Amino acid sequence: MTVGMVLANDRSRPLEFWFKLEERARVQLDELVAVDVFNPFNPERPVTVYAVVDDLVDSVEGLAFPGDTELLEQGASYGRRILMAHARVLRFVPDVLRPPRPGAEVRLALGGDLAKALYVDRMKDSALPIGVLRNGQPAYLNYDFLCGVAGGHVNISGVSGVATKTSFATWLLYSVLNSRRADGQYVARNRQDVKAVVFNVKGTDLLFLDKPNGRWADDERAYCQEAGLDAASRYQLLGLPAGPFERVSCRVPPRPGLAGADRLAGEVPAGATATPYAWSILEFCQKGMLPYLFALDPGSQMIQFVTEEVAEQLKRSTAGQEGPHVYLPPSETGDRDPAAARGTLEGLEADGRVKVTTLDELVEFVADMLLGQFWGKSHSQGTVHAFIRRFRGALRHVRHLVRGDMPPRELERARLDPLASSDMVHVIDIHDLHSVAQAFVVGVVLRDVFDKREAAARNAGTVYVVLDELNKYAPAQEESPIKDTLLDIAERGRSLGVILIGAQQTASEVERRVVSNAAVRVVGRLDMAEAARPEYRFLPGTLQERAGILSPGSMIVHQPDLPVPLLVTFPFPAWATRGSEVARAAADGGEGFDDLIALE
Amino acid sequence: MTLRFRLHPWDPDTLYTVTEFEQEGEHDPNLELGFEVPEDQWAPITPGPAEPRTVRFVDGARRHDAAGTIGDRPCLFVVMCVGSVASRLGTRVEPPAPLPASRYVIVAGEGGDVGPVSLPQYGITYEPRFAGAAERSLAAEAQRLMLDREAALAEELAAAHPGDLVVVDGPLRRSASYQNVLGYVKTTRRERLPSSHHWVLDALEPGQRTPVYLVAAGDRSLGDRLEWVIRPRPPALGVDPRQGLVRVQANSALSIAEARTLADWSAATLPAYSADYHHDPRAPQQLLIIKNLESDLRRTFGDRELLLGALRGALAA
Repeated sequence: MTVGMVLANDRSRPLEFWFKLEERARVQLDELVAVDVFNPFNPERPVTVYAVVDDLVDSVEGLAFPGDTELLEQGASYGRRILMAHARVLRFVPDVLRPPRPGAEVRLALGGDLAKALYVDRMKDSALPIGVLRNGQPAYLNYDFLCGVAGGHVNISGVSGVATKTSFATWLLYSVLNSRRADGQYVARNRQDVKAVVFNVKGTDLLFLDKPNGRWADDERAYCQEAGLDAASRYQLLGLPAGPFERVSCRVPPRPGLAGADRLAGEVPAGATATPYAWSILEFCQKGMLPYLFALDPGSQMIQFVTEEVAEQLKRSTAGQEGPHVYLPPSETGDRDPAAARGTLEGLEADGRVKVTTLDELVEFVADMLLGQFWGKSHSQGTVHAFIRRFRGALRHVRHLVRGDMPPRELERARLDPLASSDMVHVIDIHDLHSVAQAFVVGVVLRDVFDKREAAARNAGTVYVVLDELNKYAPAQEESPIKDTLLDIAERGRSLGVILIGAQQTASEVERRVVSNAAVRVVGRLDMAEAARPEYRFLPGTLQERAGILSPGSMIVHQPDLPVPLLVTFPFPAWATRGSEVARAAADGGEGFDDLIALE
Repeated sequence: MTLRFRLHPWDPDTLYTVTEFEQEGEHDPNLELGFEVPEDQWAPITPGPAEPRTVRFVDGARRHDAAGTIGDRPCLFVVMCVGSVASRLGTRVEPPAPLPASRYVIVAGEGGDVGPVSLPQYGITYEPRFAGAAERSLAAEAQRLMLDREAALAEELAAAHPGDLVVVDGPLRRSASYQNVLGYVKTTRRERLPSSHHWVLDALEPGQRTPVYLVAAGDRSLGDRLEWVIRPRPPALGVDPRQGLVRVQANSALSIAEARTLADWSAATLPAYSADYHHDPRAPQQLLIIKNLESDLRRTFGDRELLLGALRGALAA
């Protein structure tokens, strides 16, 4: 369908050109167009230039002064109106880089043209739907650049609240888990081995992933109607079923202050299903989790030495033990009286070891060891005291997460080991935790996942880690154990199948290497000052400005395969994001969901 | 033997200084000042608000592409275009469809074995026209050709749209048979009104007009016509108030009542079209819409340097 002609304004270049747009042509920003160009290397086969409209100018030629517009409206003067569109070139087929000829016809890129414009023809079986373009056509992401084959990691930036970062991350995950190719196979190869670890950082939104949303269909229909989309939902447009996530395991932290009970209890919002998580104090010692108590602020170099030494001592002392509690030797000197060394007989075992069942006890034990100069002799008293102070300070935020006072079966139930579980999506709720505890959980889980993947065989399946607030965990400036882990993931995770879907308000505040390793960059509404920073150079021209006015539900997606980022919208979640949205149980036989799925 | 065209090295506008074609005779025409109001009762007239009417403005534009010779006769390559735009105040103007330009090579003297000059690569042909004797009149002949075409277009429009008004840029020429054609005369070399009536001109304000008077041209080809004076805009600071006036001309066959209606309409309406001082060097007499039409017409002329090069190539071959 012809929509205009290339302008002879000396601006027709191989990478950008202007065209005169017919007034009635259904073209707006982000529309995809195609122009045929003579191919001197093979005159039989013209070059087709595919481009995206990134600017539109409506002006009146022949008016000397803008003020004369009034005269124009009054009919006392006249000019010729011209609607011009600026197009940024996406692709040449064949790959002959020639500018469009002025006067050449510009047509809408539809059907095969559209697939070529968006490189979908090259993605072949890896075309993963990521949203709907402004013209109602599906947009695709090359899955090879997501899953680690050709590239990996996703980085999402945007202002909190309006940028819908978490929603997009969840939607991306949904598409990965549910998209099928034309032949019925899943786009995500070995999907049965795909795992997702999702940290729920804010609110309780993600704890309802496995619950159908009773409201989305109406919202979605209304949206499609307003946008003039030829479908009842964008799921339908993208060939995806609409429904909640399957095989979800939601985990919440245990309620603090319940020591002595024989079951862990978590704060589960109404309508959600979740089980508590906790670590045994034995794991804490054996796996060297101590440094993660100070994950956000590890302290001075000297203090870090103490931390490392204590962690090492705990690891060594607890090797081969069976939990959940630990037995620690009161001293290493051997010839001293353990009771004297310890100062009290409480908790002292017959063999002279001390039974430790809570973190509080552990802190006191470690303090005794350090102050009695059994451990860390070479450190100054000041440093040792500083370490103990920090340890005690962290205690009240995490004491409910590390337990030795529970029956072993209960702690087994509370184990957090996504890779060993048969569930696919693991939502780990940390929103209500203090930031010290949040960092502890994130740090421990990420390290665990990474280490296990490092030890496992290749092609063990892909693990997607969804983490918001990257600026907190991998800040541009400071060093921390979590940042080390995130850097490990960013730089080596791709080959191990650990893919980070990270998000933050401002990419400029996140460690550059974490952001730059992301093959797929996504931008929601940005603060204008932020959008001007070099981290967003991948947004050409007007897109950078437009990032400042994006509406919720619209994202700009940049992928290595496409030279120009795409602006897409994604559907309302078909899974609940709060208790009130959870669709009524199927008891009444309604099952409105299956009807919608049947549309597909 | 067929004579060959050759180009003159000079820029045609330098060679043929473009002077305003002497549109009206040098001699004093007879004025009949008492046509509408007795001669001794002249005063500015303030008409009431005018009824909106569709006006068709007619104008032409021309350009000298090159000067040259054929044998020992000078010639001038010109391009011209004549067009019109319809306007009704309060409604946006529909830009006229683009018109093709006409190209002529005007040759001094009468006739002879002179063929057209073609530039086939641009699909352009300069048709020969003959100017008569003097070299000086080549530009004048070009102007005459254009004015003739303007007048012809005005007649055509007046006949096709009897309910509309047609405004021609410049004095009324041969449109004598149409009563809905007005001439819009921007320049007055020499004031023909008797000095006893000059105070009326000085006192005119925008929206006002002088009484209608009859200009009897005697045996002049221009013919008799009715005329009145309007002021499009208040004079700029420090500017002679006698300047900046416009003479509007109409068919002499109009009745007094018809002439009055037209005069009232023009005094009330035409100032709305006039160019402001920053729009045009010929403000305030120049009409902005005519200026726009002119530049619109020029769009079809093509690049002069390009054509000059092509002409050199064609004539050298």
